[in-house]
Amino acid sequence: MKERNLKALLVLLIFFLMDAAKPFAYSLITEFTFLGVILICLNYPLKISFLFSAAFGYLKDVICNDNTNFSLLEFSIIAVLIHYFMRNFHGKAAKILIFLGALLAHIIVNSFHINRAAYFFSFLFFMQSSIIFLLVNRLFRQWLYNEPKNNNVF
Amino acid sequence: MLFALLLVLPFRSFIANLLMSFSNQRLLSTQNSSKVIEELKKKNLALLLAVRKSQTLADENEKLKKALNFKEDKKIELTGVEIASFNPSVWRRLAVINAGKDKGLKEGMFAVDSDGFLIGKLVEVRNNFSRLMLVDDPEFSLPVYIGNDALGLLSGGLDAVKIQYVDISDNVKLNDIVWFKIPLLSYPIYAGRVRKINENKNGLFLDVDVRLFSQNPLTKKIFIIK
Repeated sequence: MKERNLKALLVLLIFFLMDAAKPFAYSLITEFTFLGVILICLNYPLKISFLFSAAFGYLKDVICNDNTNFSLLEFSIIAVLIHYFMRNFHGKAAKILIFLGALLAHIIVNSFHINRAAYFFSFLFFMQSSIIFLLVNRLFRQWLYNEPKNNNVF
Repeated sequence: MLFALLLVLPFRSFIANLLMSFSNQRLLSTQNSSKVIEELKKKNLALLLAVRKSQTLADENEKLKKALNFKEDKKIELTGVEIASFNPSVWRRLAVINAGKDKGLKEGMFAVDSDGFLIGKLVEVRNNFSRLMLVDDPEFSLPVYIGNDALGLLSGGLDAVKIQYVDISDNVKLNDIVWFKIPLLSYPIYAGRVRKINENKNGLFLDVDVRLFSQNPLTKKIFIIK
């Protein structure tokens, strides 16, 4: 496996462990695995993104004991959709919109999955996830491409 | 790629068991060192609940006392457990604890913190691990008392934990204690206090918001009431 792919795997593993261990309990309302999936989709080709997304979606379903394979399906579809939009739309603004769209889709899909609409919680999730993603994406790209620190986020 | 995925799909329970036993192994070393503290906390909690029981009994009316006397009081039994991991999704509030059938746990048992406040209930018990549904999980529900005489259904939620189906004629006040009783145990288990009272849209019931006593399960030792 290439070094680049190993980096992606390592990031997703760390994010998954963060979600399972929840070092900040429920004070931090975000899903690191989902953010990791978007991160990989924005920076890697479809084949690798889809493979990692499906694998971590499946792992999440196993831990959650979700027999519907909800995360496996959601992450796989998200990976394909992100690549579809990235093929048709280019530029930093498009990437930001794709990320925000994925986040909104995740909120809507999960609200349906639990049959509840938690507006304030969803708002907090959206805000916290966006901020954390900005930081994580910056650090990840520096690590992946050895970009200078003052480079733009997307 | 898809073929490989299809191959691992049937091994769901195996992978789950593998991951859980790994988590348990990790916890074994810390378990031994904190055994003494756990025993002391257990005794402390049993005493705390016993004191609470006597206070409640003193407040209850004669009729209720009579009814309780017919029942045989069971001695409280506690099992100290630790959280091995959480549900990776933030949309559910489920935790995996490092005890299961091997420690005599059963589905429906309640979990309290070291102060005796409700944390959640067991929804799945396996051989060496169990799944604990926290009070603020969207699917959590439990019949509770509010203050002295009001009844309602405590329902979890991501925005707020609420009590539904509280009769509009019930005298519910802000800061009233929300509590419940486990059958055969006369100890009251406290869950929280009334934070907000609203009239339901249909005008028949009150919507009561609850501030939970036990907010952060990570910082607390957890006990399962048997």
